[in-house]
Amino acid sequence: MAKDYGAAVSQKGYDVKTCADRFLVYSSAFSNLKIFNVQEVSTTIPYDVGVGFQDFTVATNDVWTSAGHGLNNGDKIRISAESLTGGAGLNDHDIYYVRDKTTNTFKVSLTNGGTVVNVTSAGDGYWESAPSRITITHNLGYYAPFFVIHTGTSGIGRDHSYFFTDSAGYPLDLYGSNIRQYENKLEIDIPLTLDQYFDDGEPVNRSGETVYLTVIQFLDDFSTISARNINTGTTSGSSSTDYGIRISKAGYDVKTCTDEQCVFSSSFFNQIVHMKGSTTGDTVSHSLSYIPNFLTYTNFSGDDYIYYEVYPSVDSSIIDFTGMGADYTKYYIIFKDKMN
Amino acid sequence: MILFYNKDNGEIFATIDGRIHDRRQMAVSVDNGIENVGKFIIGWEETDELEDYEEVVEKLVEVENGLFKKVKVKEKRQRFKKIEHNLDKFELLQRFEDETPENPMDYKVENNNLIKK
Amino acid sequence: MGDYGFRISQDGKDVKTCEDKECVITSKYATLKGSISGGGATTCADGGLRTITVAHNLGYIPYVRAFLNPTDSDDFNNDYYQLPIWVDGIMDHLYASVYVDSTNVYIEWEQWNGDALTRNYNYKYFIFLDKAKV
Repeated sequence: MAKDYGAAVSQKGYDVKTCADRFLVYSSAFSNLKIFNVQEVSTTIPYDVGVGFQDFTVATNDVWTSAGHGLNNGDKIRISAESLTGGAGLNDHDIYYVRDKTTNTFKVSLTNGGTVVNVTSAGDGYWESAPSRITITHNLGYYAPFFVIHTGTSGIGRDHSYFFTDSAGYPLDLYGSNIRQYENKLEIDIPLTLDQYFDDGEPVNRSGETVYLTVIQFLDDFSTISARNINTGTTSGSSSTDYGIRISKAGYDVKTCTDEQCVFSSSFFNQIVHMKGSTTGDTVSHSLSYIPNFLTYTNFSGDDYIYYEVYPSVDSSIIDFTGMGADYTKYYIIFKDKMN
Repeated sequence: MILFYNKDNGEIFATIDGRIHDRRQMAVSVDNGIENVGKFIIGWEETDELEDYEEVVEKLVEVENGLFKKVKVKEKRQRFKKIEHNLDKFELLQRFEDETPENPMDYKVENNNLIKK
Repeated sequence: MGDYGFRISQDGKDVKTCEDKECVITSKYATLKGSISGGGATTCADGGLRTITVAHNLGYIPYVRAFLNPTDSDDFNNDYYQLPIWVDGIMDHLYASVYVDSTNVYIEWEQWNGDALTRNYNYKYFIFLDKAKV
């Protein structure tokens, strides 16, 4: 068993010398997720400029053909995810402004009224109303974990928060195309169909409403930290004596600030990192013998961003990515917290 | 640990982790449709009330000029009072917390006691 | 202005020169502070909606993570999945999410399956002191 050295603080009621690793608030042997930034951002839910998905063809003279498209110059569209065939010079990520429209054709530019996007091979696909896009430039220079919490709209109010979903429980990023973490920025696309009610078959139209999000950006990367156990097994020792360490955020008096205004406090449990890294494989063994708390993100081969991944599951020996395939790089953080 | 149980049949359906529970944790309720819910606590409950206690400490006492002697003395101290709950079940709590744990849901509350189903 | 506070580096990293992200902890960046963790077991009828409501009593909207473990599904492993879940399997369909207000955490899911059976679930949540709504 690895020797421990450095400093450790246990949760209340656990003997710091003998308790299992997962009952430590802090140990110099294990990392913690550090919060780089917490931001509240907002944008307007877009209006529909078309009728759902519409097909198009595009030629090397940069002209898009989409019969009866109904678009106006200045409307914003994007190519539906993974629908583009050919059409070199275009992609399904950029937001395009319509220009030079006729009844059945148009061209596009990257800025309103800007230079026409040059298409160098013929292609086809589907276009749709562009989302509203929020870009947070963090300049970290690597992929970092993050959370996006939807905190309401001007229409439904702001008294609830939803973890990575809209207020109907639908994931904001189900297919990994709406929330993209790049090495230097986070992009969040808000589609016009926010707050969908699938049971009713019709999306709730919230176009024009302001949508609010809280973004928690962590400082940590996914460089490998191998699994390490210092104290395992039966949780021994108990003590009702309260003592510990408390560190306040800059500008807050450590003696009088609220618990929430602390950088760190031994009064509260912490998500201690057991291991982290990335893999293209199907499984990662965690060696904890119990079911741990975990966090995963994914990156499809060739993409330059990662997104929050909901499909993996965890048991008492592995994180299971089976079914996702080797084309996906899976980024994972496994914490010491026990779930079972 | 706080165990939430159905008072009609003693079945445990939810838990709150920990050994020393602050006021926030003590105030938690869990609603999963069961109407008559009870709480069985194993561990300590924090309070804001101070209590006096004595602690034996070692001190250096000057016996004569420049000569000191180590003595043990009782000193009065204060600490926040903690209420004990069912500490006779502490070993069971440790088994609930173990890596290959016993499941609290395999127990039920009967006559203010935890028994295996 | 000079930097002050404390920092502890990861194993193998020089605490004087390593980057902030190579620190186990540093007073420069806060960590998430866990307040309440818990879990339970329950069922969900075929075609039904199950909501677990946990009163957190913080008086503001905290950050929460939640997980669901379908224990007897045809299409899901008997493992824990991080929320949200929105999966249409071959036999089982499961939509699950977690949302929070200033009083409660709500873990909510609906399921339906080809055998019209009630399914069994374990759930787990971690409620932090940190605010979800700034």
